[in-house]
Amino acid sequence: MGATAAATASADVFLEVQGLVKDYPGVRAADNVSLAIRPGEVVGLVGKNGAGKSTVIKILAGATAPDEGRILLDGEEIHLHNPHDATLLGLSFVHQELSVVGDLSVAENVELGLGYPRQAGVLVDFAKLRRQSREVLARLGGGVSPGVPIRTLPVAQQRLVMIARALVTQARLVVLDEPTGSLTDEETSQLFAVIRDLSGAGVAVVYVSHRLEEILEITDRVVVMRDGAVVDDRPTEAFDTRTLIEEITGEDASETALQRRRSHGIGGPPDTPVVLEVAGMEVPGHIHDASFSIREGEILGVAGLVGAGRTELMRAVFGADHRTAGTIRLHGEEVTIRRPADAIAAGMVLLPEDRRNQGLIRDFNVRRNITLGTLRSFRRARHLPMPSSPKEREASLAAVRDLDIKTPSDLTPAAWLSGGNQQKLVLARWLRSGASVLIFDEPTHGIDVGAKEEVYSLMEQLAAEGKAVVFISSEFGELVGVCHRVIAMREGAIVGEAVGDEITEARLLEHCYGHSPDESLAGSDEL
Amino acid sequence: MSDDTSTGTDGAGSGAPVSEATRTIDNRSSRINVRDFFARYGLLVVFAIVVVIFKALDPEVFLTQNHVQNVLFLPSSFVPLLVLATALTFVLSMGDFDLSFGSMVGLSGATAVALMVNFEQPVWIAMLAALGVGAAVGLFNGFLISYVGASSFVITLAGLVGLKGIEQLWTSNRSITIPVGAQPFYVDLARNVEFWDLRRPVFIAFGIVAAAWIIMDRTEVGRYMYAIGGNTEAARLAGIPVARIRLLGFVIVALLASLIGILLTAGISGIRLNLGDAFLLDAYAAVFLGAAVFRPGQFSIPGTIVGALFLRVIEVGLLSLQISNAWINIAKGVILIFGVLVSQIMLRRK
Repeated sequence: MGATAAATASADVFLEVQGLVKDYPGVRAADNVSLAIRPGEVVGLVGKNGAGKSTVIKILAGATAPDEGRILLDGEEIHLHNPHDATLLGLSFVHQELSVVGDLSVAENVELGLGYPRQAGVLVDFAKLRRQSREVLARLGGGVSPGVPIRTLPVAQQRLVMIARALVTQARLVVLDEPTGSLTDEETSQLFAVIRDLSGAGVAVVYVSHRLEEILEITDRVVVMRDGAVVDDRPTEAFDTRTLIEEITGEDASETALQRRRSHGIGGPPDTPVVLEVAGMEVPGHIHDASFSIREGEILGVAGLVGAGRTELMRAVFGADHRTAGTIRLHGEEVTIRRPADAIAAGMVLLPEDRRNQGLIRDFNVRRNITLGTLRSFRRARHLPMPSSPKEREASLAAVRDLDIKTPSDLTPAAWLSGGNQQKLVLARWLRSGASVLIFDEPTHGIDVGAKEEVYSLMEQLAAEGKAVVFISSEFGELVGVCHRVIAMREGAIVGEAVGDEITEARLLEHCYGHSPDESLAGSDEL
Repeated sequence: MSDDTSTGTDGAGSGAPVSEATRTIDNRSSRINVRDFFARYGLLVVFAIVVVIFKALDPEVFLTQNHVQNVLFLPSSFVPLLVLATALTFVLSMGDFDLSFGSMVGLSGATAVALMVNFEQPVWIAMLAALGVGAAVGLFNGFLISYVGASSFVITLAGLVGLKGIEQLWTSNRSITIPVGAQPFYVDLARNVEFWDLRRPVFIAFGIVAAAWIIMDRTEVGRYMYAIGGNTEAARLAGIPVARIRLLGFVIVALLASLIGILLTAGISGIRLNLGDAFLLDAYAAVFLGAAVFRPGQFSIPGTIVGALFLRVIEVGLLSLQISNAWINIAKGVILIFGVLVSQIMLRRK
């Protein structure tokens, strides 16, 4: 494959990536990725969650090593062992989550780790440091003063400071990962002006974004990734929003999901009573006026791109995060939910996204993890708050058997289990609780294909028993394959809904990318 | 059949039916088992060797009945060490700190004695007031730390200093002595009772340790405490009332420190300055030493008992050999480093 990449490379290409492969357990995150980048070029990098964009960026940044493939800079192979190597070679990265040191001044952040100017060999020459930063910041416009602590600046200006860092290192490539996530329109156009300046000065920019309008506006060329591979790489003029979405979605993936949907006979939501009704949820900075409901026996999907607020919404419903407004009704009655314990008592449970850090007590054995949520039901006697070991053992062995949890014994520490089995462990904890609403946040994340199918079957089984199942997923294919109804979120709001046969990957993506075919829903986005 | 205690949760050697798979793991290599044994029981082995050495050096006195009764279990030093270390185990197991309990011991003793001697209050009011001050301090610490979210290190450091100030205020910075014959009930708290000729505080201490062991190992609250220590966020999402239980930990520490303040002032018939200071660091040493046995890395009441006993044996043994206090302190420090290191190295190799 290196030959193909070499063939497309013209003389002025300065950075070339050839045949990158990166495997993570159960998934090929980068599959033979080749890219060529020319000076002054603005390249858009798009793809769904998990399409492999961040893996490629991490490899370029030296944060992770590829399993196969090589990186050529000016025709010579380079090896990046850590982010510092990449910086020295002129590759600069502005990540979505800004890595600023809040209490240090702007100037100190601009040159952090790059070697401050010195006085008498040891002391930092702060005057010179400020002068240098002021020069660089002036090139970016925006009027940022080098002396103030960076945490006092709005996020947009913090991002400019990180770009200034790239200028100080004389970067030849600047990678901007979701740079406009928290910017206003005005700040975005200011950023675009900076990008054009950089490009004019011969600096290449890789622009990663879910916002397709921006990609179409600012880039010269678009690279589309899907399932770890580059599936399209053409000049931006060749695309419009619709063709981009088609490329990002792909046909094959939705086909298998649709097949699953048909073969399992999944239709619209059942005509049963509403179990959970959420109205007007507000979480400052994350969720704005979100309302939804779910019926008995329904599997409700929640679609959205990373950062759309799906996890935040469900955590707020569960009482794990504070909400400033919003009512929650269970079985028609309003319930007060201030903390997770309230939600659990009302019959609602959450299987968190990050099961290792939020779901399991890793030092606890399998048995104790299973019984933790319902410990009071294992008492030796009704009014004696002491758990009975035989009762706990019986329940945990039954759960291990019923859910087919692969573990040497129920006294094995939870940390030793595989991801899929850890997921089942958290599920086992809640199945005993008799909850009527179960919220699964990315339950199949990082588990292998067989285990995924088991999770789907479990959700279907729960729904068949009359439970309401909320299913958050970044893999839209699995939402298509499993859900009766899907709500789509974008920028903290619920922006669309698909019911029954309307649920296709393309439609979900259109909602999530804010390119809704439905006029009324598109209008509500503006709120 | 209770195989599921925190001291032996992995099932090896317990009475639970062990699956084929576990047995295979256990038999895979005897080397792993040797390491595992030393990680768990290495400190006990060292403890046993130390006891044998002391006994050999001083066979006439060391660990005879009289020696155990009157020296090893000395109410004015072993009882506070054991009880305060036990109390500390609760907060440490949840990942919190408490530095204020040494000062709390003094404040409680001063409260009781000053009320009886300077204000001529009946003994029951004095004792209730001392325990009440303890409960108030525990609630104050616990509220600021677990509900407001302040750092337990800073808040209880403030307590360490501030409570001492209150004590100085109430005692006018002077020792107070309970006159001979006055307050017989109070002074009797620390006297011998007719059973194996041990003093009452030793029995109280044993009772507290037994209760703490049951709470930590066998009750819902104890399980929740370990869950909070293992992963606070996961515990909260599992519906555990994390803030309430952390608060309870600080109340337990302050209440038991108050009790120790009462027992110590009863034993010496009065209050002298800096009564509880000496126990602060020794209690920490005992708990951390205890975390190096049974289940390395995990604080536990049985571990704390071993830690407290070990420290006391070193102290008593070296004292009876007429070795100076300086060397006793050095020895305690060395044992603490050694004990913790050995179990950590053994764990890492695994």
